[in-house]
Amino acid sequence: FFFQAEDGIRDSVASRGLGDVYKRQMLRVLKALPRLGGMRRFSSHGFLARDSRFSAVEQYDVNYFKKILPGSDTVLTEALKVNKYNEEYTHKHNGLSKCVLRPQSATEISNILAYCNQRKLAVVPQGGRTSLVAGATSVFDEIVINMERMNKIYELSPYTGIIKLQAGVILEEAEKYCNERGFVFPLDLGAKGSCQIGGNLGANAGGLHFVKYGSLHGNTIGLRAVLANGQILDTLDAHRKDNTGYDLKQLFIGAEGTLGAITDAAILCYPKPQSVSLCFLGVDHFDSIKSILIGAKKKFGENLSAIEMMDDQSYELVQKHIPSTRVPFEKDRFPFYMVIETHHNGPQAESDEKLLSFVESMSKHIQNGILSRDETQAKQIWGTREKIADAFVKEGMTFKYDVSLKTDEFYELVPILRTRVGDKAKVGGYGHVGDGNIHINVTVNGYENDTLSSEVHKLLEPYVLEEVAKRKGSISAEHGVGFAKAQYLMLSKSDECIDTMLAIKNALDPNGIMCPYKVFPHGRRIIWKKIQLSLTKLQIPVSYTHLRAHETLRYLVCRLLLEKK
Amino acid sequence: TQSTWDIIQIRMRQLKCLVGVKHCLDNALRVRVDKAKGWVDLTGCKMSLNPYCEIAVEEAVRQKAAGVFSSTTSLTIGGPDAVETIRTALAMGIDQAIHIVTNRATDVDISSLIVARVFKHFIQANKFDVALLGKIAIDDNNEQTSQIISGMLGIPFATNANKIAFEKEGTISVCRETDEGIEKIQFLTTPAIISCESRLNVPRFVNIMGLKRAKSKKIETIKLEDLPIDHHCNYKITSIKEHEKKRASQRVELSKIGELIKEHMIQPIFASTT
Repeated sequence: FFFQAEDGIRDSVASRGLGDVYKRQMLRVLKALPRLGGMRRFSSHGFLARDSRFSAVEQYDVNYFKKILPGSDTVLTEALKVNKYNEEYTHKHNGLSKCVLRPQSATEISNILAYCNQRKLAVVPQGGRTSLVAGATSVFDEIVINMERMNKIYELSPYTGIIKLQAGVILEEAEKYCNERGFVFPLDLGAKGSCQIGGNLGANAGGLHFVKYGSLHGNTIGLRAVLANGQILDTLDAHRKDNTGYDLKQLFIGAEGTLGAITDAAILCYPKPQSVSLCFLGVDHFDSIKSILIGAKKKFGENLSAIEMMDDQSYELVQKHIPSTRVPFEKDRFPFYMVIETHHNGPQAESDEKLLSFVESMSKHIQNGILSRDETQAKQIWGTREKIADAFVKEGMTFKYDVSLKTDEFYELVPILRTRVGDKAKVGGYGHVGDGNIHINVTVNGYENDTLSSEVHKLLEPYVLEEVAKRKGSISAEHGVGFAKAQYLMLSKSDECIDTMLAIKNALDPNGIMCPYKVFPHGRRIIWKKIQLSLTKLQIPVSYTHLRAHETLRYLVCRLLLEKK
Repeated sequence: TQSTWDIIQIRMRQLKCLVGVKHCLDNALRVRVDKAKGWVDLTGCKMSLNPYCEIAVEEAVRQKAAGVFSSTTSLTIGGPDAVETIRTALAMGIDQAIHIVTNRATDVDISSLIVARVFKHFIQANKFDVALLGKIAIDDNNEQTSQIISGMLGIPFATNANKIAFEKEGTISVCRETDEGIEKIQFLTTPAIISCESRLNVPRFVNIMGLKRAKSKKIETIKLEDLPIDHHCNYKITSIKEHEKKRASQRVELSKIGELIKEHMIQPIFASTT
C-alpha cells in the first residue's frame, strides 16, 4: 500500500552485486488524501499521530467557554478568524486548532483550564507567535489560549525597579513604559514589536543585552501561573529576597507552557544609563573577534551592554532583502562584523570618547568602524543585526540552529556546513558572541523547490545537532525546544534528566493537556533514532528485495536484527 | 585627459562653501513640554545634528570630493556643548568649523534674523561662493534663515533643493521640490544660497577614522557678542504648550451629516446636504 511494486530504477549504490536492488518509491499517499483527523507528516518528525487520550472540541465546550468568557470576540471558532492564530513563524508547522480563547484575567484562565483538565481537552497557551521552534501554535486541534487581551501594566516601583505586568503585554510596550520612567527592561529582542512577556518567560528568552543583564531566571522576581488543574500559583507580590521554600516560579520560566500558563509577572528593571554609545566594526578574522571580546569585557566590565557578531553572508542578505534598513558599510565588505554597545553614566561625549579610545586600542584587529551619532543611526545599526533572521526567511526556506558553543569553537561549524551543503544552500552564522550563542541559518533559494529543501534538510539534521552534542554544546541556546527540536532533547540532556523532567510534568499535569507533543521526545521516535544511530555504525548493506509490497523500512531492520544479519 | 588650461580653469572656478550646522534635540526623541513652566526643558536630552543640516553637510562633502568646492567650512551658533555636533560634521568631511558661542537657548532666544546676520557677516568677510543650509531646523521650525540671508545680501537663493548640479560654465542648476512638481532654476552668478530638502542625499555614517582626523581639524571659536552685528532678539516667546489632541474620527450615517455640520460649523463641500 505504501510502496509501488514496480519501480525499476536500479540502485547501483546499494547493489554490491548481491542481487537486483531497485529503488522503492514511497507513495506520498498521505499527502494526496485529506488530513485524516489523526495523522500529520512533518519533515523533521516523520509521521505523528494525534494522541487519542485527548477529546475533541464539541459545541457544548464552545458554549461553556462563551459562558465563562463574557464579552465579544473572546471565543473564536470561524476559520477566517482562527487562521491567524494557527500561523507559525517559519510556516513549516502551522497549527490545526479550531477554537481560540482570548481571556482577560487569571481567574478566567483558571476556569478554562479546570474545565479542560476535566474534559481532557489539550490546550496551548499562546503569545505573539514569534517562536522559532513552533512552540506557540497547536500541532493538532488543541485549544489555543491567546493572552493578547491581558496587556495591562500594573505599576513600576521607583525604589526597586520592579515592574508588574500581565503576560500579554508586548515587549516593546513594556520597554517604552520603563524608558519613560528612567528604567531599562532587561530583555530586548529583534521580535519585540510582536512578542509578549508570557512567551518570553516561557522560553526564557535571552535577547541582545543578555551579556549585561543576565537571564530572565535571575530577573523575574514574581510570577502568577495557572496549573493544568486550574489552581493559581500566585507569587506575584514577591520581594527581591525571599528564601521561603522552593522557588516555584523557576519551573515555569523556560518550561514553554508545558507546566502551566503564565498570567502575570514581576520583573526587575535596571536604571537607565545617561548615555549609550554604539559602534559597528568590520573585522578580518574570527581571532580578532575573540581579542576584541576579551578587551571589551576588561575595559567596560558591566558597562558593556551588547556585543554581537555576524558574518558576510548574513550582512549581504540583510542588504539585499531589507531595504528599510540602511546597512553601515554600503560598498566595503569584510568577513566578519561586530556590534558593540556600551552604557555610561555621564555626558554623551565622554561615552563616545571611551568607546572611541577602546576601538583605537584595538585598531590592529579592526579594519573599519562606524560610530553612531544619533538615535536614527543607532536604529539603523541595530536593524542590521536584528533583521538578519527576517532576511534569511525572505531569501527562502530556512533551517535555523541556535546553539551554544565554546568561544574557541564558536564559528567552527559554519565552514564545515558550507562544504557539506555546497552550492545547494547559503549558510550564515551570527549571534551573541558575548554569551557563546551562535545562530546558524541555512537557507535554500525560494520556497518552491521541495526536493532541494528536503535534500538540504537531510544533510543538516541530525548532523548539525550531533556535531554540537559532540562538542558538548547546547542544541538550543535560547529558542527553546518547542515542537521542532523535541526529538533532539536527549542530545543535550541525559536520560536521568529527562526522566526527572517527566516526573515533574506528570506531577503538575497528570492528564498532559498543557502543550502536548512539545519539549519531550515522542516514545517511538526515541527508539527509531537509537536504531538509526546504531545502524550508521553497523553499516549493513541492504537489499530491498527482502521487502514485501506493504512493508516499510522498519520491517527490514527488525527482520534483519531478528535474523542476526 | 585635461589640458593645463582646463585644470587652471577648474581650480579658478573652485568655490568656497559655507555649511550651516545646527545643534538641536535628536530627531528620534519626543519633545517634552513642561506643563507647569510652559517651557521645553532640554537639559539631559540627547542633542545631535539637525537632519537637514546633516544633508547639507553630506552634499558639501560630496561636492568637495567631486572637485567642485575647494574648501568647506561649517558655521554653528550654540552653547559650549555644540562642539560635539561640530565634531560630527568635521568627521563627515568638512574641513574647518566656526563656532559662535552663546549661552542663550538656540531654539527660542536666537531668532532667524540674528542667524541670518551672522551668516551675512561671514559670507561677506570670508568671501564664500555658495552657502548650503538645511531647509528647516527641527526644533524651532522657522524655515526662514536662507531666505533672509539672500534678502540681506541681494543674492539668488533656492529652497527645498532636490538636486544640485554645478555646471562647467560656472552656473549652478538646482531642482526645487514644489507642490506642483519639480522646478528647475539656474543661478548665473555666485554667491548663492541653497537650502536642502530630505531627498537630496542620504548622509553617511560617521567613520571612526573620520573622527580621529576630526580631532586635528580647526574649530574657530568666537563669542556672539564679539561680532559686529545686532544680536538682540526683537521678539520674546512667552510660553510653549502641546497642541490639543485631535478629535478621533467617527463614522456617521448619511442622514445625520446635516446635524454634524451644524454642530461643528464645518463648511459643506457639496452643495446639497440631503
